[in-house]
Amino acid sequence: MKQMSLRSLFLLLFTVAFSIGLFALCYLSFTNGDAWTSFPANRHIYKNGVIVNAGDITDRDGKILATTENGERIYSPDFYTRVSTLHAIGDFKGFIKTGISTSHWDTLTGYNRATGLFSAKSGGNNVKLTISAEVNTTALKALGNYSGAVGVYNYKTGEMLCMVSSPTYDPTKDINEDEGIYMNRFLSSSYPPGSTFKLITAIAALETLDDAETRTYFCDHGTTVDGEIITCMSKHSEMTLREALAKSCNAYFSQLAIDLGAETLQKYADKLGFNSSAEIDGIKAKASRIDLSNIRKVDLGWAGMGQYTDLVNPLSYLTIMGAIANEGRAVKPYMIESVTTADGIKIGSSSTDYTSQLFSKTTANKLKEMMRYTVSSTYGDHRFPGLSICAKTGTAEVDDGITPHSWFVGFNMNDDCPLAFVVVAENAGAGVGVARTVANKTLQAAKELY
Amino acid sequence: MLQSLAYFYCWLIRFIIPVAAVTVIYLLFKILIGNKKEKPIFARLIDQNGKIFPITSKENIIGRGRHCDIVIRSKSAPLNAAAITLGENGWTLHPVGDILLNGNEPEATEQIGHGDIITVASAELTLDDSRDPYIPYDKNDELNLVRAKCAAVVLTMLQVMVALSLTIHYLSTDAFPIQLPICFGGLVAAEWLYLSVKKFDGVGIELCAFFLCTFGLSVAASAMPNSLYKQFIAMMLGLLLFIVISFVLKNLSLTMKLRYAVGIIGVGILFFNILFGTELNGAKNWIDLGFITVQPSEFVKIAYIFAGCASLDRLITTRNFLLFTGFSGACLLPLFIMRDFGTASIFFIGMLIIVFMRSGDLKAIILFIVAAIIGAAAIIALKPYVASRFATYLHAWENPYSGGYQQVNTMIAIGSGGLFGVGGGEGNLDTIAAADTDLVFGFIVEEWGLIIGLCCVAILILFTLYAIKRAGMTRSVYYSIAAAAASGMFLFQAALNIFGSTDLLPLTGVTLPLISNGGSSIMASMGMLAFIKSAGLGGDTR
Repeated sequence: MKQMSLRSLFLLLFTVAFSIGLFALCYLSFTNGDAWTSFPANRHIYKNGVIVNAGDITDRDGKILATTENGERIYSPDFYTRVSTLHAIGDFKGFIKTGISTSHWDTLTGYNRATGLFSAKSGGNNVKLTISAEVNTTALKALGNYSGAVGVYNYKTGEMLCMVSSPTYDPTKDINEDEGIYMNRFLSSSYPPGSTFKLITAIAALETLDDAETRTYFCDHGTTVDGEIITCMSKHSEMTLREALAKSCNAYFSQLAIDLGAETLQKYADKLGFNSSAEIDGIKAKASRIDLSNIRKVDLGWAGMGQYTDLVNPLSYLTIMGAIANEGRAVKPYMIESVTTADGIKIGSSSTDYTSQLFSKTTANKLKEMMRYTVSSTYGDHRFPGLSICAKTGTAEVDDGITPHSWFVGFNMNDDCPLAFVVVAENAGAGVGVARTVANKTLQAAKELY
Repeated sequence: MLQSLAYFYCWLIRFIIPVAAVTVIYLLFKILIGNKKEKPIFARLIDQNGKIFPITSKENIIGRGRHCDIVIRSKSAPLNAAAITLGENGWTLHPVGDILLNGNEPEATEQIGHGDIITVASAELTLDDSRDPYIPYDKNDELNLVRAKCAAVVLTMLQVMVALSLTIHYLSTDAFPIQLPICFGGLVAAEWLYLSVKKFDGVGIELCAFFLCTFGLSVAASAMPNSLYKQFIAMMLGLLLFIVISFVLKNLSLTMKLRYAVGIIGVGILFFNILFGTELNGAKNWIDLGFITVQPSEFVKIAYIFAGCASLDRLITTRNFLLFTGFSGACLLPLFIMRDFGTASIFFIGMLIIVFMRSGDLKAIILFIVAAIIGAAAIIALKPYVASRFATYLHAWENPYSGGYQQVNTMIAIGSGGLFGVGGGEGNLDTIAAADTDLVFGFIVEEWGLIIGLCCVAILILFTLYAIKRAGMTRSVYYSIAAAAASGMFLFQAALNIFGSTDLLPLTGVTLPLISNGGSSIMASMGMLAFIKSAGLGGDTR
């Protein structure tokens, strides 16, 4: 009988092998369960490739942006609401990957790994966004025919009020062309920053140079570095950082960048979020890029004013604006205000979350004052009625013979309406033109909410 | 009001059912493998120096080998000297090597009694059976009665909750199947009748079966309520088969007499199947009896184990496996002709286990495996359409609407069910072909959750652990081998079913024992259980 005991261990081999297989299956169902469940053949939630067993998506005023009626998923009946919020809520076929409908299908259907799709059959969860359909509409109309992105958020609380990407389309109509219409430019694109990058150079200078505010550089329609000329629009002569920012002097910032050195500038850019992707409600944005390694001196000069290989993502810029407005530490933007079950029980809500201290409070306040001076002295406060705007324009050269991109970034410094904004309009010319106008129209609409 | 109450029940029950199931599983583990039993002492062998060798089994090997029950530490002793077995007529000696009985050369079998002297090399062993066999009183047996009663009560609660959950689902549709309460009620009644007759003594294996049958019925009720009566009757016939086989197995000499007849009938059925079988889902392994179709290969598994195992006296005296190998070949060949490769591989695993348990010869096992691999390669080379059946293996997600359709939908079901399931009858897998048989693991996980799925599988693992634990304690090695073979075949079949439907193994289309919908499968699986149960036939019951 003893040998039976020994030989039966052969059976133990089977048992162990089987258990390993079972463990592998459990592991797979845990790591891939969401991918399995969200496959369009899953009739618990899909109908004709569209997730229909999902809750409503509403804007901050409770206006319905997406809902299910009689087993069909439908968008808002209002044309402008539909097209201006499309990239935020996402299309139902899943082409816009960063849209809430696709990226948060689990929240909308009530799926999680533990309880599966049990709550999907009773309608899933309703998601309320912080975005205002009205402000989005205004921003999209203001952008007109230009491609680009507009983002506005409350830098005290983190609520995104406006997120628009153009070109967009009407998801209720059949479309046959797709010139980048599925991309949310606010999250998934990056552009040369142009003069707006001077803010980054200024932060690095204020943080590292004791005489940052008093040191002067000379501008003679530009400056010469190693025999190559970096051009400037005017002859600004001798000027300080404050004046140079207001006049957007290329000569000043290129010399400043060279004096700071590639390493310092790289360090501060990285600290401000370059080379790592920002997130909004778990949706990953494209990372801003800057690489100053092995750079020629003259190129460092160009880089310091935003015309090297630097590329900036609008969301990451919005966070930097939030940090300047908020004493060096930004509130992270979010757009999901709350999640409630079909029975109206609140099961989740966003809360105010901060980044680390990106730069000192002193730097933030000095730069804030300079940006305020830039607006009051150069752009004119009358162009922003009822607001105290601190901002910087950018005219980002793209290629020879192509109209540059137009940037306008900044924030309103009034505490009663604490809004930061980023506007980029592709091939729209000077920042002081289109982007500034779009920013004002959007902010005027957003101001009504406060 | 009633509707929201029903919703609340379905919401709550999802968490209570797993708790109840885990409780039952825990109790079953305790009942079947939780106890340490003291071995009984039937007799003693005392050598010339007064050293005592207790005899604790009814089948024992004496020899030099370390595997022997009574080890003679002498270089001149044979590896296996003799077997001594306890039967109805007292002790019997089966010499293998050079030994003497009372100074003379013994016959092939010799009746021995108190005072007889067996000489193995320099050792002179005197048999002492003067005292009554010492049967230790086991206080755990008392505890097991309590555990069995608790398990039965919790299991019945579970059954009521499952049935109610399905009832609520069907009440929300137009067609409420009256079969549902009748079959669940019938199962509970049969279960309690059986357990009461047995007085809850030694019913661990049966409780396992009732647990799995519960979810088997729930699958039938959800997938096709019209098949409920058929499935329930098959379960009851299976229970009857289980009782009959258990009764025969208890009588070892009767079992040994019936072996050849059963083996010949088993092979005969398979060849009959080749000649008169009908094709269903690509395999010609069905026989249409006019009023019902049966899958004979399921039943032949029982015959295979019944005829393939042997008791110790035969093991130690005949070292020739030719007959067994021939018998195995006679079972495998018809299955290949019928293209039932899933069942064929289950038989093959059963063969490996029986060969190893009988011989302990790893070389033979390796030889068989190599032969199987060459054979499989030859089949694929000669008949490429066989390989094409497995073409989408590991690529299910690349062919979600063609070759990987069943696997993809099973994985969707597993993901959708989560840990607690979407509720009885609420699954969507039932519209996929073979959902209630080949894809049944996904079916259970979708409706009842992964925890319940794992509980069902835990029972199949428990069967092998039970066979391993009992292997050295049975009344005869026949039971050790039979239990190992039956539980190993169950486990391998479960692996083919579960991992096949989730694309970790090729999808072969075999059933999950005791759960899948299908009369032949459930009946035969219940019959197989008798072998696992037979491992519980201890040495202490004369």
